[in-house]
Amino acid sequence: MSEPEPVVLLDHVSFSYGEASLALDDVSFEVAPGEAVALLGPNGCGKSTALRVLNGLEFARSGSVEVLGRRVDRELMSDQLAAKAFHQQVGFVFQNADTQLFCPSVGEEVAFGPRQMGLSETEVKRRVADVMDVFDIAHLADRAPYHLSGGERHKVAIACVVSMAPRLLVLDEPTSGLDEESEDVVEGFLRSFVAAGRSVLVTTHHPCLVDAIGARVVRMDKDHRVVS
Amino acid sequence: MADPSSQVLPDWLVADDAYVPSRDRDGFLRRNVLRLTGLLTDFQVGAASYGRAASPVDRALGAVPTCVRMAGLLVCLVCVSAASNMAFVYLMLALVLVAMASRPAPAIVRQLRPAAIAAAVSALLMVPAALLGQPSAPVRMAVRVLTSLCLVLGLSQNVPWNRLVAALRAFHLSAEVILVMDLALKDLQLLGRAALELTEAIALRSVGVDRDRTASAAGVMGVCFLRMHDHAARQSEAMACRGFTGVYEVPAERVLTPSAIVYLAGIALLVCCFCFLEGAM
Repeated sequence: MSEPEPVVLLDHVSFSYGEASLALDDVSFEVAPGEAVALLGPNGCGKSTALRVLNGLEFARSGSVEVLGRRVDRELMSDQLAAKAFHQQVGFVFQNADTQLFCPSVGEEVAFGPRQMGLSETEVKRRVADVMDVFDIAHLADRAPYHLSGGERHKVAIACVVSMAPRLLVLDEPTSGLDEESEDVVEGFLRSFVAAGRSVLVTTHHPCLVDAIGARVVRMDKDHRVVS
Repeated sequence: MADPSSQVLPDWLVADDAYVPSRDRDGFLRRNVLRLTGLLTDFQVGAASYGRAASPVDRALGAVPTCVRMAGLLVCLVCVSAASNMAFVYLMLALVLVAMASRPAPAIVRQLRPAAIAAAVSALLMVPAALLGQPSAPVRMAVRVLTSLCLVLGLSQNVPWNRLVAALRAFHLSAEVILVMDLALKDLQLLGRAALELTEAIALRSVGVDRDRTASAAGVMGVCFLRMHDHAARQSEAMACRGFTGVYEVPAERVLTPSAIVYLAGIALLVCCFCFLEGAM
């Protein structure tokens, strides 16, 4: 029986910021359907850059990036409809939750994606209620995201992306700044998400997150290479 | 709330329905706003490459104290602007192009593109002069602008802003002015990064039709304002905690190094060329 096609495939990818600042050096790894992968490594080794490259925010200088069977390159991102379909299927949560919250209230923030998708208002409300329940943030619905604590903002940021029902979740340090209870909530969700056949790629410095979601580890070193 | 250890996901989250996006007029956000916010973060470009210059010319110039380079640049700009004999301007342009050619292709593009656009615009503005009997005016103006901008960009893109500002100390600018300029430039860069990240986040989550584009744009501006306001307050508190008394010391650069003497000799040679070509020698 043939193996299922990987959800994420980075093949000998190199990338640098400017001329001199190398961020990824011949990086290769893949994520299978229904698999959780944790990208580990020291600060500045290129983990976040790898996530930006596979989300089409940066483009590889060499090598190829394929996500959900599509090659992620300038051509894909310049095709408006293809890029939108791609971003709906790949949910990316930034390391700093501040950088992705811009609506006046948490409820509107979570509803932003489903409304963009043109869902009916009933469906939007259902999704918002479901996601808020999953992440235990229903009590924050009317609060301004900017005035939440760091941990609450992080949960809201994940909820915003999940409400678009992505097939792949890409999370840059999803449990940084979370208290123990919130960590349990996020880890429990990620476990269930993977068990449902979806895929998760996380970067983290917390080995307990890796264990909690049963992730396969891909380790990068300070030379911006994958070592295992 | 569900039990955190074993959550039951909503059916819509695990369903395999294919979403087909609709076309929306968000090209402005995706291209122009991202580009504009990215411009503010360009303040760090010089910092990123400083000390690791890829070209031999930049490595040699990197050894010259920044204040000396700024003074040299000023002299060159005055000569290029004042030259009535275009031979001097062409000589400067040749030197600038030789220096530029030693740089990697992306650096050349970064330097040449804005200079060429400005030169083209200035040539366009001089078209009436050509029609009124000065046929060479557009070319003369374009060459001057191209040369001057290439000179300025060559310095600004290879030396970080904080070193440029610190070098102003050599021109007897007060330390407080340097502090204000330092903080303003750093905050501009931070603001640019914040706006860029927010705009990227909107672009990633804009997977369909945004019925209220103004609200999204207002959200980005509002959050940027709040972040910069908080940042300024935190910075002021941190400075107070670190015992800032209003006195800011900027260590003066050592000016007369061997590389500075060689550089100044080169500038003196250019000034002699200028005087000779202008008939003053």
